Amino acid sequence: MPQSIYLSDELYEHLKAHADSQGKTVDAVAEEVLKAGLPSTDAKTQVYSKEDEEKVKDRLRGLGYLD
Amino acid sequence: MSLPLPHGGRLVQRILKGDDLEQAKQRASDLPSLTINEELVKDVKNICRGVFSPVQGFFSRQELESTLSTMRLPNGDVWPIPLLLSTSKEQADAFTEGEELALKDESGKLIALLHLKERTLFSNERIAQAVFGTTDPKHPGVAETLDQGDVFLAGPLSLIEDSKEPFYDFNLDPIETRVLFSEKGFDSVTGFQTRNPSHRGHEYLQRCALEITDGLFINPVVGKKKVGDFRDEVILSAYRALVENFFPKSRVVLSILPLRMRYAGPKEAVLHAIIRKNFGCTHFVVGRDHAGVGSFYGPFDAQKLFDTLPDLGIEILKFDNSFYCQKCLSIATSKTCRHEENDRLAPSGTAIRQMLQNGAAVSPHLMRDEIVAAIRAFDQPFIE
Repeated sequence: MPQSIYLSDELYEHLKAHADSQGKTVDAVAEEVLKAGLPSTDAKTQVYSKEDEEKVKDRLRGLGYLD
Repeated sequence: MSLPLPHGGRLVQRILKGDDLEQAKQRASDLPSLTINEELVKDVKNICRGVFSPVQGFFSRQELESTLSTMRLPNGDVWPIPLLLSTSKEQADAFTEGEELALKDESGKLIALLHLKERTLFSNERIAQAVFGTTDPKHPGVAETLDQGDVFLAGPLSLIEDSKEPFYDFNLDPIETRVLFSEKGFDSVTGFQTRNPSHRGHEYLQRCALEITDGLFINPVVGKKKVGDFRDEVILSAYRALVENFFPKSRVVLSILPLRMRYAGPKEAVLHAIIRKNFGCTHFVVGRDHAGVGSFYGPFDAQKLFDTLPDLGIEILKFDNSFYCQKCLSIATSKTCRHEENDRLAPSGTAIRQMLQNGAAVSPHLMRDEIVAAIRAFDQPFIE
């Protein structure tokens, strides 16, 4: 079931102008933008990979930031 | 509380490595090239290292229009100042959309590849008015904007030259501070931006922040300076004297940030907050006239702008100027002290600089002796 969200007038006008320019509805464009902009579930918990994390820890130890 | 996601939800990492790096270097020798100045090199590196997440490259017309008119990217993320690669029409005509450009610094060193998506003509006056709130060329940011070419090259970047200079030992990327804060067990961290050695007023704000959050991230901005400013190495040395002698080691992280200063006041304060969010900060200190210049902005304009951005994703710690009160016998602000103006010693950066330049004694109520000594250890602490 569709839900309502509240946007500032300015943001709504911007969204509407963008939707009009593409010949789409505001709802459709809002959904597209939200889907593209939101992080995936994985990204919410994992900003960097385990492999990257180990390399970073090595550098941080080398620099004295970590014991 | 926990460390925030990067702005836009994803930490941008556009640093080429391994085979990709080697192939890019080989390709670059046959690509058209563009020389960029030292300030643009900083923008390129900051984009590719995730300092400006979620931005992945120089702005397209759509991103530029959106930023100027709504202070948001087209997807709705707050974004106050466009990141632009300007050039002349003649130069832009030599490039083709869809091709790669080799970006080189002024010494000819290959820095990055720009995947050119768009060339767009845009009014620099309009950019200046929207970003700086004025087109007065006395404003240094406006003067620079009006002076630049009015064709903008847009597209994502891939970083080739990833050396951690200057100050290799104190130059962390957002991915590094995020790992570090996590290893230290911080659930909350305050970001503190500075361009000067710490006086007692700064230290007061830093201590207030340490009372509120698990960690304090002192992040001096280094780079292009004006005559009379402290040299970058002096700022770092003075901060080391403070952090290593006075603050609890486990709770304070010191790392510099090479960043172009635009002097855009309130909008730049928002950019600085986003940057610290990307470094993993949950809070950010904004004092009087943050990133302002001359009298172009009111002392609390930056603080007020944050009130209009409830979805920014970082909490702003707003402070007025602090001073040493000779009756309270402590550092205070107008919020915490009832005494008169003439009871107060204000640690003005300009006044302290003059005392240091003239060899005069600096009161420990204004700046700690250890910091004064760290500054005076340099034969020439100021830019000439």
